[in-house]
Amino acid sequence: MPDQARALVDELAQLAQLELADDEADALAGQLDRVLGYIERLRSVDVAGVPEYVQDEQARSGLRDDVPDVDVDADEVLAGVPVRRERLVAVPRFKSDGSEG
Amino acid sequence: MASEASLVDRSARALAAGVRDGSFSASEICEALLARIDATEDRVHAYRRVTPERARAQARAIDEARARGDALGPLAGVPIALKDIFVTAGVETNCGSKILAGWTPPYAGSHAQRLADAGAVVLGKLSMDEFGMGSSNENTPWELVRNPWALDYVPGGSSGGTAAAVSARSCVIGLGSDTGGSIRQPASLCNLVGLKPSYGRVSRRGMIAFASSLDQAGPMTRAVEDAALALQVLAGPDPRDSSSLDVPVPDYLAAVDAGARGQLDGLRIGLHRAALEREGLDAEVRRCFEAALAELVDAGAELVDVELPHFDHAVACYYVLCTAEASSNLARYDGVRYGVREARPSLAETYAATRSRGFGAEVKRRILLGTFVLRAESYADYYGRAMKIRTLIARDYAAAFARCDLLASPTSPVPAWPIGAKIDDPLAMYLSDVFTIGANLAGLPAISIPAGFCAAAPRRPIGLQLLAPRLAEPSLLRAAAAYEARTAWHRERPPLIAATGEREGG
Repeated sequence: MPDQARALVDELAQLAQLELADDEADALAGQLDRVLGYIERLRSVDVAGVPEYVQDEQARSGLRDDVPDVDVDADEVLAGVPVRRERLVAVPRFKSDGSEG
Repeated sequence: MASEASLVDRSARALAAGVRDGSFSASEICEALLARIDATEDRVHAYRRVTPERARAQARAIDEARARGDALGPLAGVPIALKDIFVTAGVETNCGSKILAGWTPPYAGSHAQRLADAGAVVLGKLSMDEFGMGSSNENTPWELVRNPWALDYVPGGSSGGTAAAVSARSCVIGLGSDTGGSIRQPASLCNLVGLKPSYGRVSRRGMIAFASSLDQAGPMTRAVEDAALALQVLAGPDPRDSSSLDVPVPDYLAAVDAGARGQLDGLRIGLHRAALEREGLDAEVRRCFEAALAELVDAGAELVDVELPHFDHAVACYYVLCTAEASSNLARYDGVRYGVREARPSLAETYAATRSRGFGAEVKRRILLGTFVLRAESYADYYGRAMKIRTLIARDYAAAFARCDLLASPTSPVPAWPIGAKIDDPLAMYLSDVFTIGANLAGLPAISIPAGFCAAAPRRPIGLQLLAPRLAEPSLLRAAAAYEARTAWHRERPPLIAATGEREGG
């Protein structure tokens, strides 16, 4: 397994907030390498002067009237939160540094 | 029961008409379909969740409305099921992933809402590849879906459960989603009609996002008229989806009825012959496709050769763009506000643990690929470049449509394959999207319709794909209806039907 492919997977996993087991990371490294090799063919296309894609009909401005509109119930939303403290979403502290207060 | 047998084979259009004129009740139709679910699910596993009591209540409400003389919607009493990518208020929705296990949506998506307003009876949620990623419905932490035509074979994906349920007659209309072919390819593998509308024709609100510039919702049915009926209900602008198009919705059933006369005089059908010479096109698929073209010519169509110069780059382009968008869209699954949480002492560890345990292998693969192409140092070379190639691909189709009215191709290069045969080769799986992804990249409407079967046992379906210019669904539906009127493929039933019908006492 080329170290380079595995190092890439490790870097990408960190960026993507994924924690991979060793054998998992090795398997993904091989597969990713193969797919990236396939994608290299895009480099052979002449894209000089070609704009990035937009739909023919541009979407509407997306601005709605400034009128209150409730279409979701806050209690129902809160019911789906894994860990709550009253009406707050509870999360662990940002970093675990061993000195829990 | 004889009446159950006749009910489960009827089209949605016929059932809706029967409910309106009193020939059947919504409740008896509902019971017949629930019985089909009971008879088939232990072999097919199409459903992620069946909601019989809700369905019965909806059916009762339709019957009561009819008794009162209230107006009934166009799908009143028709039993449908939704791919589990569609958000349903009060009904657990998992999108094929453990990371959303236990999540009950607090709102109704646009699709569930429109179908309910039209009077449809929702039987349940259908199994799928995780987050819409897959072509075989094998990317699932739960039970594998089986192809009703050959139970050891894949039904296709990612709307595999949808295809399996419609072809097993355990729902009448199935709603699927299509990002790179996920409605059309399973339709092709299961002898169904599968329609991907133009991008923006149907709202995406309430369809859990995989790749926002490519995703579209659409129906899978056994008859072209039912796909038209479903599209009529689903199409239209949504003020809560700014990518939905504010353009009039034509009469799709009128297009189908015009087509059903079986004549295509003067219709120019474009053919990209180079694509047929590629390695990997199954000989039986080619045979069925050539026969389908001959049938279209018999109906009065004219074949025109067209070029799609960037066709060979489309799969690579698609996999750069869809993975980039997916890596961004799936960043929201972090265990904080909904779904599963794998709690750890710190927030960062919680994110990583939740995502690592919650996502399956294919999803991780695509997130990593998407992360790669979006890195600052890679952006221009990969994502930026792919966005320009996407423009070139869209221009290729526009140029082709200057010379023809519709494009024809096989839907899938191969018929259904054995479960497990391709799961270790992601790239091989991606290459099977070669005919379908163009329509997603260019935002075009496309349909797959039954066009034959492979000769080798087990007898497996092969679909024909037609593509049209943007918003030309009427043209697509007219041609599909004409082909359907002249052929009998769509009337065949999987051997499973007889096998499970007999258990019911005939």
